[in-house]
Amino acid sequence: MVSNQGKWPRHESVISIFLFAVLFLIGLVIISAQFDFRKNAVPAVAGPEDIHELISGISPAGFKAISEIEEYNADNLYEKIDGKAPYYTETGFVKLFTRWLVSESDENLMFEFYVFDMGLFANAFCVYSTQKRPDAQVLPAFNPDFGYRTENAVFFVHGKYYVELVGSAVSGELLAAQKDFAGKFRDGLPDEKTGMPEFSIFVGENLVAGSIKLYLSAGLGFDGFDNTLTAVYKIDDKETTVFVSRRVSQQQAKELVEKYYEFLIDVGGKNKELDLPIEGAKAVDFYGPTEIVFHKGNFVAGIHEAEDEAAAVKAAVLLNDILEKANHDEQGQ
Amino acid sequence: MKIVTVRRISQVFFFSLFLWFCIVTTIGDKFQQLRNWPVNLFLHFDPLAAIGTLLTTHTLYWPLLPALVIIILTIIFGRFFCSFVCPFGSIHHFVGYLGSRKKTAAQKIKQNRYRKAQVIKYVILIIFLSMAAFPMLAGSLQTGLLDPIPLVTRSVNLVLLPIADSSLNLVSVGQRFYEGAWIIFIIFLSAVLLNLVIQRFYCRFICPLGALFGIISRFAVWRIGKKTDTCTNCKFCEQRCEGGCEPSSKIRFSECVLCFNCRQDCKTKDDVIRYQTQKSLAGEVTGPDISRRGIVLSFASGFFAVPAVRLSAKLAANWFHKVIRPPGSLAEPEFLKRCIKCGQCMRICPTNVIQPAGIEGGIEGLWTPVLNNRIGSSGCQLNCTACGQVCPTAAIRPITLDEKLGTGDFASKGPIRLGTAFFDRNRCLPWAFDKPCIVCEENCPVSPKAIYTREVFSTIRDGILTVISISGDTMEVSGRNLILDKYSTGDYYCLFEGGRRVKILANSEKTLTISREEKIEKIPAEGSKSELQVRLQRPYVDMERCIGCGVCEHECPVSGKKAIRVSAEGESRSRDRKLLL
Amino acid sequence: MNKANDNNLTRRQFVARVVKAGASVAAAGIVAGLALDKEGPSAQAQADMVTLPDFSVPAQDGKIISIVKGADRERGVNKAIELLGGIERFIKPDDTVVIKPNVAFASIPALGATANPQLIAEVVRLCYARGRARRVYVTDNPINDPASCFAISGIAKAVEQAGGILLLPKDSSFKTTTLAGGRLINNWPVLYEPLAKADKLIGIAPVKDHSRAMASMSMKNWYGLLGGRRNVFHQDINTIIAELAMLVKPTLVILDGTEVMMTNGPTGGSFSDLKRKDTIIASCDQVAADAFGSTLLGLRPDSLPYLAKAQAGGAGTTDYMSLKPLMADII
Repeated sequence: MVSNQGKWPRHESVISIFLFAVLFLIGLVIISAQFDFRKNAVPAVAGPEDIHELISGISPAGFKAISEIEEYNADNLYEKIDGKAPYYTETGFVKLFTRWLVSESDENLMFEFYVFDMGLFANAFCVYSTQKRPDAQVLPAFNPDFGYRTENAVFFVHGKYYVELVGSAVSGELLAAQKDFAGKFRDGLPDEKTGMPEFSIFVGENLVAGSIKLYLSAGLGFDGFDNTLTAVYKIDDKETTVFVSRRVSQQQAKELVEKYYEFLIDVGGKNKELDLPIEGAKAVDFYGPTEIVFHKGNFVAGIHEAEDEAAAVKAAVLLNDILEKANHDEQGQ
Repeated sequence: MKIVTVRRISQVFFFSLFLWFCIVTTIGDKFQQLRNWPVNLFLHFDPLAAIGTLLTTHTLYWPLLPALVIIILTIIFGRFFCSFVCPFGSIHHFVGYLGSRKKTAAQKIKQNRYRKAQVIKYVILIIFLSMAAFPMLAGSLQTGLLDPIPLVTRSVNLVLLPIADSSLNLVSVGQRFYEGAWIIFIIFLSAVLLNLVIQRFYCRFICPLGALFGIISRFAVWRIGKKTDTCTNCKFCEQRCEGGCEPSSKIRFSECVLCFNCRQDCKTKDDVIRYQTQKSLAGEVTGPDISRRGIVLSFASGFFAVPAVRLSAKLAANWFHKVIRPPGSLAEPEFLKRCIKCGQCMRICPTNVIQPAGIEGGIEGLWTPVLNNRIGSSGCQLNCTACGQVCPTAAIRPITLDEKLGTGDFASKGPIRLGTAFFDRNRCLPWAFDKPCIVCEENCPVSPKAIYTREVFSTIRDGILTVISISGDTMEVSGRNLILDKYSTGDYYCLFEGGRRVKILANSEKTLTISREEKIEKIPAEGSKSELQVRLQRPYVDMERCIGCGVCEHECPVSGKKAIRVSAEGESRSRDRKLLL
Repeated sequence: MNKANDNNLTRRQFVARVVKAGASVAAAGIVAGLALDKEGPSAQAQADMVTLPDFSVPAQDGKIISIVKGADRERGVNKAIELLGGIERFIKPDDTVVIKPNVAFASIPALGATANPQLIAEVVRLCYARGRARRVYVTDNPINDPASCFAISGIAKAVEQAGGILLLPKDSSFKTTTLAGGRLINNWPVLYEPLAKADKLIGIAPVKDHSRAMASMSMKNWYGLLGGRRNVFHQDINTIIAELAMLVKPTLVILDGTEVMMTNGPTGGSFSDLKRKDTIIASCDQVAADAFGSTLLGLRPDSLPYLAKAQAGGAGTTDYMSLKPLMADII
């Protein structure tokens, strides 16, 4: 390599450094340009709607937002709802969005929305149904299984979202705004699947609308009942709670029946002899009310805390038939 | 700091930047994925792409406006792009450097002498430009074949990266495939290896972009030249001359690539070789060494080439049905006016279905994007418009998802169709082989589906059985050997005399177990015949719903020559190829 | 001295060069600015959109449709046009007239699949002699090869003998058009070049059975103005015929029911497919002409869906009786 003999002129250095600076600038511009992108706006592939954008865009007629949208994840959820947080975080919680909306005509009328992203419909439905208030009333335009209201609040589940609209007063105007919000939220996410195939087990006119609940853990107080559905049937004018849990195999179902029976006995229940036309069914007198448990195929099912023994038996038979048919349908596939 | 130091830094900078852009051209949000990296930077700054499309479309597509910056800077300063920026040039520079390290000074000087053959690149440029220049008669943009930026982009993206990544899988999840990549590889390799013979071989003899720069830098304000007359004629300045421009004598100005090596190497005390505003004291040859006759001949060749090529009617009635272009592509004549064969669409396609075409669709289509549904992971993904977003010249328009799917504002127009799927009933399992299969229907992504089925019951070969006895739900039969459980899939039925058809649940070598759902009122008589039938769902394409995405073709289990194949009839980009009104 | 001169020379050279460089930069900038395309290409190339002119003449009540019975076509057409006010009502001196006959097939005249050459020639002569037209063109975009169609159908020879000029379609003769409110004729190529130079347009078509459309008469005749892969429209034949009637507003249509192709249309093939009905219709309302023409085929106007569609689209009326057709009998 032959190099220049003497020094190079100064102006060459100046120009060279200037050029080098230009290169550096170009590099900076490029690096900073690529930071400027919205995570969900990757132009090429369209994904699900940005929920943040959706809920900030919903404005019920006559109401406006008076706060920014607050976001919480599993780490800081307790900052918003304190002790209630584990209830959600242990059920698949992903994110919470909240915001205050106030009436433009009456500053005392406001509600806060809580949009829980629970990751899956099952999770959302679980937290929705297990918290259902006893004074639940029908929420118009919503399936009674998936939405209800109380005097001042609206609760519903849509896809993987559990939404609470908590109002500051009992007011028709407030309710209208809450219903508006609920409808717009639901319509803004048309692709969310709300429902599970297992719901089809609970059929019949005796089913009390909106009574289905899903326990993802410790259903009925028993550890073995994860993934358990309960519903209420009205038999002979008596409300009876039934429960169903699908297990992996017949063998497991059988074993679980035994375990639940033993659990009941352990905590003080007494075996009951009932004339049940159901194979392998067990009945327990649990401090008065009757518990029945049996298995059908892969399902463990039974009656919980039934006041009236006769109604319990009827319900058990009804449940048995339903499950028989469900099994049959599956095998016939 | 010496200018050659900056030049080297600049080469490394731009080459690394180029390589980085090639790597990140994958859909995604991570730092090493697409995000907002300006991956088309080099292509958008390429003056040959800008001028080429300007000639063919009479418009300058606005993302190509940065090319004007390069043009203006070249007019003022000369061919800085070749030495400071061009990533392809940097490769040549480096390989040439490696190749000439062991050579003596005399050998190097001899190697770098000007050669008449350096005029070839101007001929190539004129031919390309004249092919593009008359869109009314027949404009065709073929600059992409030899334009260094698309060429090196293509070579890295379609050959080098897939090879390098095949075991590392850092850039893409699976192995990427590109048809005909071997040709691209050979061309790239030849260009690179030829540097061992003559430095910057491609730049000196072939590069049409360099030729363009050579022409427009004619009036450069600053130029390399001799300042004083104290030159000792040692010719050391030509040892590492990159352009082959002979700075020691009458410098051939259009060949000078501003490598500044001559300036660096000049051994005289007072720096004879300068970058100055005056013309070189030893004289200049400003223009390329091409005669007027040469210009006319080149022009004429290009001018007649396109109509000659189009005699094949590949753009008319003889169009090739397998040229299925990406969604958002313009109609074929318009497409060929814009595509610079850079391969970006092929690189970014998440399913690896866009492939470089060969010449089956016409020679003008070489290395333009076509879909091959057999390669890659799944045909054209329904919710993806990546190719259009990344095309630097809008040969594939940057369509919105609404336009692609025919929703929202585009609901009345309907979805963009790439073609239509056609069943080959001679190969399709339920049609030709009595075998149930509806993988195509299951995978059809549109809703309602574009593939529907009609139920047909077909008696299998040698399927006539004689009922020997029947008890409960089990039938003992004779007439053929039954393979254990072969008929338990739920697809097989028994057709009794009188027309009753009952599903078979299971079978042994001699018996059939029939579905309990059907209570056989009349037990078939002993000795009566029954037919063993298979229930087939024979698939059909609903032409009005099919968008030609190719998922069905990809999933078809007849994996050699697929039993359902997409063909470009019905593509929405071409009025002539409509199947439906 | 020399040095000073040299310096001046180099400085002049330098300035000259800078000026040229500056001019190049400016030129590059201007070209880029003029050609700049901010929107990118659109889906369909909007090439050469044209609108077909309206060739109709002012209506005269009671002189809209004429029906002449007689075996001689030349006398018949003369009478039919005379009843409507004579050719002078339609063709003014120095007019350029385009006649669009049905030349769809390379079929001999006697088979009746194409318009009768003598009939066409007579109309050409009328335009020149009585109408004093400057030029009369005859054109069509046939299904088969144009040159053979015009030749074998006898039309080329007849036209030339009458002094008309044949216009065979070329690629450059077509421009795209859209029918306002139309569903099918949207950015579709039509044979525009002859129409662009025309003042008047006359359609001449035989009455034929048609396997797809049930009948091919004066409205279907305009199918021959369509370019591109027009056979795709056969999937909705009634809509395309109706849209053609809305697209093309001729001066006059002449419907030849002298020898009607009753079966095996539109190509026929046997003389027994033809039946003599000895009727010629001249009309300013092509829908009415076709409505009457359908009766020659033994059909009723309401059995041809395209008639109702055309009427609904405002191209004319199917109730030809309400137009008070002028009738004549020539023996």
